[in-house]
Amino acid sequence: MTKTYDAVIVGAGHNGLVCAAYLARAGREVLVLERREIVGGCAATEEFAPGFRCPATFPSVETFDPEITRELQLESHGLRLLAQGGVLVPRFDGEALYLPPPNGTGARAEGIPDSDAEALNEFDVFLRRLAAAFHSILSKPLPDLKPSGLGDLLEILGTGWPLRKLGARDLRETMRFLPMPIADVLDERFETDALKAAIGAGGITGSWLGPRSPGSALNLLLHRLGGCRGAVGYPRLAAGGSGALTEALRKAAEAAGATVRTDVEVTDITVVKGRATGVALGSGEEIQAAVVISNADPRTTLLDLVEPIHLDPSVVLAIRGIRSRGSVAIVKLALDRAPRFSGAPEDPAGRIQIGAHLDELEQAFDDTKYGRLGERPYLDIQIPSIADPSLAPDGKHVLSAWVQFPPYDLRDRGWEGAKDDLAAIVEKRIEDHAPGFSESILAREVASPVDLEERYGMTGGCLYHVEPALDQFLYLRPMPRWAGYQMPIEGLYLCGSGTHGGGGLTGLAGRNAARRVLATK
Amino acid sequence: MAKSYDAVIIGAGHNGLACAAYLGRAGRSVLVVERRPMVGGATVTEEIYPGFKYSVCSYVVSLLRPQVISELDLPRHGLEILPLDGTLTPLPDGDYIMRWHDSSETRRELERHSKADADAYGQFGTLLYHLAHAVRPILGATPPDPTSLRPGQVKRLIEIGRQFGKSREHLYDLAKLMTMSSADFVEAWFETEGLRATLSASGIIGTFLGPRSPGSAYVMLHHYMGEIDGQFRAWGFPRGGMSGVAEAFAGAARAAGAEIRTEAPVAEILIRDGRARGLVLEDGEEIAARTVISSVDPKLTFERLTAPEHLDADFREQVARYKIRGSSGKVNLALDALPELACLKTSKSWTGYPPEAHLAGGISISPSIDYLEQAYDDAKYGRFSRRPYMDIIIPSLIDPSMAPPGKHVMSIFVQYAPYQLAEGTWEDQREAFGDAVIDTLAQYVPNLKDIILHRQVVTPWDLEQRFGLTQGNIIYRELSLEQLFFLRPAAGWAEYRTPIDSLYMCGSATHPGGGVMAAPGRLAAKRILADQG
Repeated sequence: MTKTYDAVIVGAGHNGLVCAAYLARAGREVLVLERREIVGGCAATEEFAPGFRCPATFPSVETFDPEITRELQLESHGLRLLAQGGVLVPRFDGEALYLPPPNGTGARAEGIPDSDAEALNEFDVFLRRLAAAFHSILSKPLPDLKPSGLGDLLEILGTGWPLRKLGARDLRETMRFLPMPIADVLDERFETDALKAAIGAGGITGSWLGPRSPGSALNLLLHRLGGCRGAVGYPRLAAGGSGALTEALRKAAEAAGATVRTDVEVTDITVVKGRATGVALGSGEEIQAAVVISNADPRTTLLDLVEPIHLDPSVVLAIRGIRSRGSVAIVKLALDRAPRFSGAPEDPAGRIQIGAHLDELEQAFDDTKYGRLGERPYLDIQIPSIADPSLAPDGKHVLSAWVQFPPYDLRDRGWEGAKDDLAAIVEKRIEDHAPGFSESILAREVASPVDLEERYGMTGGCLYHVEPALDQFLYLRPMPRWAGYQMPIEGLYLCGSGTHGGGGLTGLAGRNAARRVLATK
Repeated sequence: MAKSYDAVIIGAGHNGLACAAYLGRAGRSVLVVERRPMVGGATVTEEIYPGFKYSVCSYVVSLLRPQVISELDLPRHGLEILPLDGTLTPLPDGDYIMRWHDSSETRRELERHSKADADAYGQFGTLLYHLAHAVRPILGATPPDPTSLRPGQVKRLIEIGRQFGKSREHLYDLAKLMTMSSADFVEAWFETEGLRATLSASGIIGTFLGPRSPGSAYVMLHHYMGEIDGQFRAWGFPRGGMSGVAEAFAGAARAAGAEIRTEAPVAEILIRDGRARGLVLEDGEEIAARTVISSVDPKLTFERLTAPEHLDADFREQVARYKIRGSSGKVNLALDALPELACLKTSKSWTGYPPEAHLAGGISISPSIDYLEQAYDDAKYGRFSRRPYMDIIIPSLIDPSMAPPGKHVMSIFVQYAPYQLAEGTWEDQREAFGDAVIDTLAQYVPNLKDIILHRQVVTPWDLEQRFGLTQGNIIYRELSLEQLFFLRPAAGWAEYRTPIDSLYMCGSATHPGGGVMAAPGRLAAKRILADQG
């Protein structure tokens, strides 16, 4: 008779590992199964050219939740966070806006008018207050909306309480802020275009939204809830890249007693009499478990891994209604030397955002609406080897460009020939701001949204599993009626980015799912 | 000493007149002052070209509340609403999509394009019907302040929660619909591109949103809530044009004892000791009143008609950032003959319909969602749409008195025409805008250019100059998520009251908002009567 685990987790992405660690710490016997040879999913660190290693997608880990880092003692499992970096926004006139790392003080920028400096400070404080309130909402499972007793009612009130605590004025301001386009928020407060673009870029990151789309303000807030709060997205690297974080998570989970197996592909979630009983592997092996928790996206989990017969047609319809349009491509470059950006006050150990005007970001988004590649995408660039030389051979560098918005569905042509075009577009765009840079390129890797889908098993190549949007948030994430991690099949849970608390590299979804599973049993 | 009124109302638009009628019926002495020589504001018919009557701005009714129609006995005051039947979407490939009021005819027509869409169409209507019903009680109620813990406010909030709870099965659908884009919403239902686009177009009318902007799905619902004789979604045309609506409201107000003075522009609201005491007209005349009610938009009310020292800085800031960007224009045409569509020459293939029936409803230039979205992209960057969305009616086919025999008038609602142009002014762009409209429409109506006798182009700038609509916004505000429900017209001041005692608002900016609906006028009157015991 084979052994039965308390929980089997499909996928060793950061949320799967967080979930495993919390369950194991609560005494559960947990098995994590990963299709690839390494853990971490799209948060791994990968070698893309001999001797050159780079975070797979998320270049830095500032959004990861510090509470989780502390609770799982990740630093004792090898996580070492490097100093916060600044944000550089090169402009077309050859100058650049630079926002130095805050080092404990508030956000500031060089060379902006006093009124903008004051507005920046004010907005920074406002977003921090908002982050505190929303962090507490996103860091626990949502209460049931059909209260069955006083306890449930108190839970609902308790969940909303942090908002109430903001006070009438801030609460009104919050209700106004959340559904707004980030461009409108920033146009009201600031005059400097590059400053607006510097902040506004956080509102489009990972989304299918432009800065003029309602909901982009919410998306900004979601990126400022964890280790990086306030108006500006100061990057923070882990020594060894994002993969060092997921390695530390693996060690934390294993130290707590969880087993992690790599190179095993789950082909089916076994359902018997309407209940998930385990998983079947590509090798034919079957694994029994009291609960199955999937770190895969909702669509992959429910439509690919579960036999359709086990789902009500209305659920299938709801799953098909989930929007997961990938609009991010990742270009990694191996460089002979670090680029020099015009107008940069120092070596750009931080984030370089190419896109100095909100209209430029909006136009980049327009391209994706019509399935075009676009000549002027928004680039979120980091050169992690500056702070962490171990990622590249001596004196050499790696550059990671998070590119928005190459569409998953490239209209009128496939992605095959388009990848070279994308590389050329990205390199040209960097060259414009860092003359001579192109000559330093030694090797490159381009991952289109289709590549991201295939490599990491994410529907649509959507790195957040379920697009961040107003109608895919809170009780509507990943889909209406099923926002509580428990899926329509008994014993089957989701713990990935597409659930409440998820979206980006935070770990909150994994911890929430673990709490839900522990509370259910 | 001049007479003192119980209430003086700024602006004789339909909401101002409705408010006057309700207050008059409660026994109050009411005066309505209007800047223009006629009543109606933006609900107006004018004979710009001899023999041809244009409904210059608004052009159809549907959101007009049945409650208001019956309570004010508007038919007795001359209101007659003629039904508009059918929506025709001409397509660039020479085909078309025709939807009639008759569901079986519509089904047959949709089947020509897609069997699945024909099947889904009925369910789609049913869902929207239910959702509209779920939202309706909220539209009828005075919005609470969710940030307040006062018992009255909390009670109202709970009541709204209960209303939503009653339609629990639709709760999630409603939550999604409130926050998603109209394109995403209709794409999940239909596959025929022209149908998707025409349905989603109702989510952009009067907004600064594109069909792919989250929030536009709610606007779609908002427009679905129109009712005439209890029928959802039926649009109608008032006999005599939009002035027919205004005259009926004016008649009801007068019958209730209200006085109406036209050509009486207001210079300032008289305020002493934090309390509104009346008005000063531009000619210097002072009118004393216990209550002042403004039916004009909040920007005009608080930035032009109220001296700044009466408002605190916080409120002034809220008004300053109140979003009211106009995004639409009108082109009105006098036509020598009936326009001929390239895609459909006659309605005779439908039994029981007269040959020109396909022209007698709405004609929507909305061939695809991308088309609409591109029109919006232009506006985002401060240009009028080169290929605009158009909602067209030919009023003379419904009410022949609108034009001389054999001739016609055409009303073309155009989007987008942003108030703020990136380059140039509306005065020098007006005709170019008109040309873009005519050139686009001529692709569907080959004889159009030959039959135009006169053309009136109304830009957002004209709407501001002539009708006092700040930034040319036809509904006094942007229907954006953050300006719905609680936050209108300024956070904390949503209940028709203002920070100034005895000064109230009753225009389209107040709950439940835009369209020729008259609910704000009615609810404001109720609020005032309740406040004054």
